Amino acid sequence: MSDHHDDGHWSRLLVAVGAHRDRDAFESLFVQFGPRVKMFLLRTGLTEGAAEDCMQDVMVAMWRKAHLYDPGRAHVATWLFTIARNRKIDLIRRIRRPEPEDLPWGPEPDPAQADVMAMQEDSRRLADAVAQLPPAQRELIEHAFYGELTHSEIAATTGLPLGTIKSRIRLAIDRLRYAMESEIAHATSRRGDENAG
Amino acid sequence: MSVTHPIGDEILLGYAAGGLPAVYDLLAACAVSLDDDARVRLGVFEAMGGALLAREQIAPLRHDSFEGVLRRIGGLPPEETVDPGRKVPMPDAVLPRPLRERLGGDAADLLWTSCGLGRREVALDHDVDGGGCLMAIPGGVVVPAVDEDRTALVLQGGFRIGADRYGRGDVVALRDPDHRAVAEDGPDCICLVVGDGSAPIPSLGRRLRDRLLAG
Repeated sequence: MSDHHDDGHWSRLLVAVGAHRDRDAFESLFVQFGPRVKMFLLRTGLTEGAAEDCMQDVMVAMWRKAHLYDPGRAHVATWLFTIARNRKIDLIRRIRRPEPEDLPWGPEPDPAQADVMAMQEDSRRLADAVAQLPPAQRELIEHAFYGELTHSEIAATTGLPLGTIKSRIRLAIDRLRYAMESEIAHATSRRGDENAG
Repeated sequence: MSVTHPIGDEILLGYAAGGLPAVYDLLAACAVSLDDDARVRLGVFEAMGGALLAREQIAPLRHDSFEGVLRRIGGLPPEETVDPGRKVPMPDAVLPRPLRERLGGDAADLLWTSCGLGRREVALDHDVDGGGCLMAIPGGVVVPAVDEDRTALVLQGGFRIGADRYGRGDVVALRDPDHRAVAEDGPDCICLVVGDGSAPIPSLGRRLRDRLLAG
């Protein structure tokens, strides 16, 4: 568990890959996340061969896209999760998965250290919250990510009221939104100061 | 932004997890493009995926796995940031970028098919996305009735169902035949309508064929 919680470590390594093409950092990230990405893909239903190939694609993408990683916006595991998910869907479908339009103001080129810390703290708390869910609810989340079931089918299968999990998600969202709003307010006032000065 | 009927958590969670039919991915990507709150919720669901990945067990890798990856990255330069054209914001566009990319242009650039009462539509490629279409409905005209559940994302203008008003960025399930959606006066109401079925608006010919095949 400690390796997961020490996320500042992994995000520093990924930033090093992006900035200096650091091969030692890349190897450490591969050793940590390659086998987990592969297990994740296996659990979503890929065969052994397909999961291995897809995992290798994800690791190659990690090397090539590392300079686009913004530690103020996502946890390393979340960033890799989205790459693995998209890669898997692109393999299955014949067309690239649609992604939301980028925000007009684009990614921050140089995230403030406070933003990075806040994102890591939020991610850690979210990971803890997911881990500490009662087994039935945790299973529900896992089904959504690993299984083919739809959300309401999950509710029907497990007999869990959808409202139970939704209210917990709602709480997590509110907490994160609060954190983001104060960060945005903070960033805005900071920019205002710069403009004034 | 004034989204009053935001996209639901079920679709967003499905989008984050990667378990939706393709056409719902398109709807979700478009809805998130128009709704910052939905963007935040999507971020939370993706972080849940990251949390599961971080705590995932370890799968054995192929014996030459890392060497294979090293060989592949050997001569590869860093991937360029998305091409500059993609980054140029188009604040006046009717269609969010995911739809513009899929259909090859904004609403005014598309080849619309007339489908009665002044209504027009552009069908999505069925083989690629599954059932869905872009619909333009003049003021006062009803959104066509359908046999099955469909979900609509409003992109321009608006429509009313009973006392509720749906405008740009709003998402609504069109499933109750007693409460039909009626487009508001003003510019044509344009919405993305998706469903699990086949035809954008089931034509008589298609319904007949389906019935024959089913029989």
